[in-house]
Parts: sequence; C-alpha cells; structure tokens
Amino acid sequence: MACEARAGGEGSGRPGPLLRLLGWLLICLGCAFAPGGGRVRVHRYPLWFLEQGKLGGGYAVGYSRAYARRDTALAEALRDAAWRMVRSQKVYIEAEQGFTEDALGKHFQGERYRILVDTSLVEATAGGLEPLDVAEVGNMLIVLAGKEPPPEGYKMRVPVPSSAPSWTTKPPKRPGWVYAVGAAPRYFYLQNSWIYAERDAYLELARMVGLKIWDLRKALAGSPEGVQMTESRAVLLGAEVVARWEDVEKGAFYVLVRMPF
Amino acid sequence: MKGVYLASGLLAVGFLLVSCAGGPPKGEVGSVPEWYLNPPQDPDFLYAPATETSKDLGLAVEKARTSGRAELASQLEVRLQALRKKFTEEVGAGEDSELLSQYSEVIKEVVSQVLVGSRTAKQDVRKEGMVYRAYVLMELPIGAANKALVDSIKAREYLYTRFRASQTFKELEEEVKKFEEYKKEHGM
Repeated sequence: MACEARAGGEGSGRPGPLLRLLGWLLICLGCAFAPGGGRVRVHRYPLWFLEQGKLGGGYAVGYSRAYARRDTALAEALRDAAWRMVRSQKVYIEAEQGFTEDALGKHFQGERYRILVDTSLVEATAGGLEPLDVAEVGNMLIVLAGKEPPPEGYKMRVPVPSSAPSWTTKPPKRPGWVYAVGAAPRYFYLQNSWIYAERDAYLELARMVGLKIWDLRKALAGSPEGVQMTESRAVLLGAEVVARWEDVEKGAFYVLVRMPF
Repeated sequence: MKGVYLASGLLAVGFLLVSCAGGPPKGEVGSVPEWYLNPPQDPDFLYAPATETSKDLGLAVEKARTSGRAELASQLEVRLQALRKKFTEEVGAGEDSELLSQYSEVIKEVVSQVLVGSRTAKQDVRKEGMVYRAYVLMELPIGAANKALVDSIKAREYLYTRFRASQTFKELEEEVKKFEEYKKEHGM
C-alpha cells in the first residue's frame, strides 16, 4: 500500500492520491472516536458509585486521575475518600455570587466559596479506611473506601441508565431529609465532572439552609438593568451523596445529595 | 481515473462531515415544561419558575435558581408591602404621598431578603444548539410547612454561633490577624 502511494506521487514531490485518501480516512476515524466527536463512550461504573446512598453509612468514594502508577492514583483517591468522609460528618460552607442583568439577559459576574472541614480528622480517618473496591473508568480512578465490605452485588460494573432517573428533574421529598441536585458539564478529566457536580449539590444544600439575596432592578427609558448578589453561610451535618447519573447524550453529570434535619 | 479519485475524495469528505457532526442533536428545543407555564398553587408554599441559558450547564442551572430565588424574595417583599399598605389605610395617613412613593418603586425595585428553606422543586435542562437552557421551579415553604426546617436550621446556626464565640475561635482569629500583619510587613 505504502509502495503504491509512493509510486503515485513520483515526480511531483507531493503525496499520491492514495496516500491523501488514507490521510482523509485517518482524520475521519480520529473525529469519530475523539471525545465529544461522533461517538461518546458510555462508561461502565460500579453500582456502589451510581447508588452510593443504598450502601448505608460508613463508606466513602474517592476520586483521582488514572495515573500510570496505579499505587499513586490509589493513594490519592483514598485520601480524597477520607476528606469526603469527614465532610459528610460536618462541613462549613460560605458562598457568594454576583450577577448583572440587562436587555440581553442575566450575566454571571463571578463567585467566591469556601468549603471547610476539620482537616485534622482527615489523616486519622484515612488511616482507618480500607480500599474495598477500585475501578478505572475512562481517565478516572475511583475507590470505595470503608471498613466493612459492601453489600452483595454492589461491585458489579453497569452502564449508566440511558433514561434520566426521576431525581434529576424532581428532587425527592422525604420527611426528615432535604435533598439537592448538582450538575456539571463534561470535562476532559472525568473526575472533574463528578467533583464539580458534587460541589454544586453541596453549595445548593447550603443555599437551602439560608440565603441572603439582594436584588436591584431599574427600568429607565425602557431598558432594564439589574444587579443580584447572593450570600450563604451554613454548617451542614451528615450531608451525603445518594446517587449519580451521567447524561451521555447531553454531556451532563448529576449528583444527588441529602442531609437529615 | 480522475473520476475515481474525485469520487473517493468526496466520499472521504462525506465521512468526515458525518463523523464530526455528532448526529442530529437530541433533547433539543421541545415544549416548555408545563409547570413553567402554570406553576402550582399551594397555600403552604411560594413558587417561582425561572429559565436561563449558558454555555456552561452548571451555570445555566445556577442562574435559573438565582432568578427563581430573587422572584421568591420579591414575592415575600410584595406580601410585606401589602401589609404595610393595609396598615397605612387603617390609620388613614397621607394618601397622596403614598401614591407617589409607590410609583417610584415601580421603576426601581430593591429586594433584600433572607430565604430559609428555598429549594428546587423541579428542574429540566435542555440543549439549544451550543447552549444549555435550564428551567427550574423554586419553592419556599411558608407557615407550618417550614417550621421543622427552620427549627433545625436555627439549631445549626446556634451551633455555629457558639463555635464563633468560643475561646479557640478567638485565638484562631488573633493568630490569623498576626500572620496577615507579618505577611504585610515582609511583603509576602
């Protein structure tokens, strides 16, 4: 094939038609299989990741990039799991956001937030956690950490359901609990999508607990203008992840969290 | 021979376009959610539907939630204004000046409220070309429906206030202040 291509280009110094055709085909294949291209891969996740809330207490999920050195990735994921376990006990959240509004719509002007946990507990918690199951999904490594093995069947790898779970459009209402849904787009590193969706859900829980809002709207000579500021400060006790779902078609990631009250 | 090359080239371009296009966009502009057009009515809740767009999915949802919450806050303010007006009418004070002040509020509206327990009752995210459109229905429990939540939140506030008042926190604040001064002195 390569010989024929060279022969075709003889004398002109340019690649032959067959070589050019091969180039085009390679580009087509590249586009078709690139992330965000024609085909998006449907990931298979462990069941404990998609339905974490059903495991009960005493478990935490940690994220890391799937580094070439697996032990490095696992150590990072375990430490992350310890941080998330401490966060599920008690976390202090401060968040501020600013928006402006004009005839074209609402514009985001930035945000500031702090998520504070008792970091002195993270090391101690990490020491007592065992990696119960490790999964590599895309370029992400996730670990289920805890002390007891998860219930039977939860280590199974399953594709994300193609239809949206009801909680993505209608957060549950159950006596004694408040629920919040966080969403994030697809990022190159898969764990970032899940981490941002989880963070969004926690910030939303804090906003539910208490939100101060300032809203100024003016309408002068028919052109509306507005400024909005929100601020929330809250201590969340026992807030935990319940479920996760990836919308493969729209490239969206959802996380459901809850907190007892 | 030229024709074969041309046909092959066209075929390759066709492949390229089909592969990179990503298929027809699904879940796009459809009907607006029914609850957005007709929000529910409940004496124990205030409802505010809102919609916003953004290239970032999270931001589209966040903008819509903030718009919904601003609307909830506005509804609370309106309730308060209505109460104030009633009070003024009862005492029968300055009718003309009251009318004037109401007119000025129409062109400049300021809302400053603390919302406790505002949450997303329903949400729907759609893709419209390159942007996401988020529809949300925010709700705020009022009256008896909110009592349990408010009681719980007050208990948490108390916890945090107690923490802020503790000696350890004061020490932390002092140490941080000293450290900030040290950094300033040393140009850090």
